[in-house]
Amino acid sequence: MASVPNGLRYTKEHEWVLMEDNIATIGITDFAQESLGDVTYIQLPKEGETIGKNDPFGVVESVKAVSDLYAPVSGRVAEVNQPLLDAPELVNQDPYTDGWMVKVELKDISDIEDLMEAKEYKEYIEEQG
Amino acid sequence: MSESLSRTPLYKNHLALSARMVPFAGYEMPVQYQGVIEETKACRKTGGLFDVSHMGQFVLKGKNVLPLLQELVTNQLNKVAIGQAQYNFLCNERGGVIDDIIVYHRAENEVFLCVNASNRKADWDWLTSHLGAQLDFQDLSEQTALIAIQGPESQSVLMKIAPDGDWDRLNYYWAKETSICDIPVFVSRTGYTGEDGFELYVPSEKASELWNALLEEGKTRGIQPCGLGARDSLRLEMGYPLHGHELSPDITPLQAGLTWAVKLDTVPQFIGREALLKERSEGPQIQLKPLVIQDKRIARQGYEIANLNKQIVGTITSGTFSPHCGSPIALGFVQKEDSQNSQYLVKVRTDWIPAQSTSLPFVPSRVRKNTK
Repeated sequence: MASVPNGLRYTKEHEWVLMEDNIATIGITDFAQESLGDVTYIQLPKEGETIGKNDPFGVVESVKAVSDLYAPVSGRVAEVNQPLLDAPELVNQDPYTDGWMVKVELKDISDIEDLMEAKEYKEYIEEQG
Repeated sequence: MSESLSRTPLYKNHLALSARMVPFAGYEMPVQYQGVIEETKACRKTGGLFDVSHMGQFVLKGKNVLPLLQELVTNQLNKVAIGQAQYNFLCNERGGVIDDIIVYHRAENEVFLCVNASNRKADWDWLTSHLGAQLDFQDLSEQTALIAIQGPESQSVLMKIAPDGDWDRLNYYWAKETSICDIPVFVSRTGYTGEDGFELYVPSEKASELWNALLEEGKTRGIQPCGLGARDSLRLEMGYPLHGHELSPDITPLQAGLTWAVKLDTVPQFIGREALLKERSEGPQIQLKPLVIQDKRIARQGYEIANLNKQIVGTITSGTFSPHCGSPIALGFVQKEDSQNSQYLVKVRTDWIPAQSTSLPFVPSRVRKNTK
């Protein structure tokens, strides 16, 4: 069973968001990495770029498939997980810690309001099978 | 999953091993257990155990079965002794490949064919429409499971669980009827990985028992169950073709660089020969290119190939990440005029990434070298 930590917010595209003040740390969920299989390539925006809620902001590629990453929030990219670009397998090993992708400075904190809580997301992935 | 999908006799074994199941050629098949990369590496290091029961099996019996079948296949059947196997193409009149198959000369007046799951019906229809009146046909696909054990430890596993098997004397592309743990099996020293190994045809009701025996002994030697993902990476590292990708009714064996299995000079007649002779004299219009991708992104089926002037010259047919090359690798067809280039570009989404032309295999083959 895929792990879904409490305290994070989740999207239907299987990203997670950790809010600390106005900074959102974003990654993909354990369910997502399991579905993708071995991740071999990750493309992320550069620091300082702006991403828009629900727009593609990067790419995750596994042996099996290529998937877009959809921004769960809008804002300026404050930090990118550089080690991850060289070691994309970190997403498989630790999707919620070493496998984080970007930190985004939110324009509008209310962006996260429509994101799912852990309990909702658990139900959502159970429906997905 | 859709209810119309078939299951192999090992379906429950896969679930017990927490495999991820996917639809493939009408079957629910394991795509991975622990992970494609780990399984691919394990197979070359120690070994891998594969359920390939989706493959089809036919038996053809009758007088002159070899010369009759020769009219439909491209390799030279009169070289195949009883007990021996041979890789062959079933071609249409245009020289396109209906299927690539293994022909086993199982007994006097009897051949056993192993065919691709997705082409089983087309093969059956083609074969019976041409030879149905002269030969007796049986489709054994439903009652036959196929387990492959591949990798350097394969023979040790068989020697342990079937000590009387005389395995060291079974050469590459030879096969024999025997029994393992009292289970009747037809064992063939063949595979789709480039490693030494065996493929075991077993009655469906005994498949689980045989799988468990192989897995139990194999585990002690580091052998892992491997899914279709690893199977695809392993075959691509060898440059082996997969029907539907590098071969199809619209692609000839000459285009795919598989002339070694097309005996135009020594076999006087088979369907497709005229077209293939013509193609050989003119030179194929497209040619298969093995490419090492100089980027981290995988070049996948359907992606465009260009020359360095960014003119489209071809298409990728298969691509994956090769753990043994440490980079993505791919196969694709390019047009004749650009087939000698050493560098190409592949369009990955919006970017052109560089790809280096190479020769096959990507990874050295370690199949059994015949001793006699």
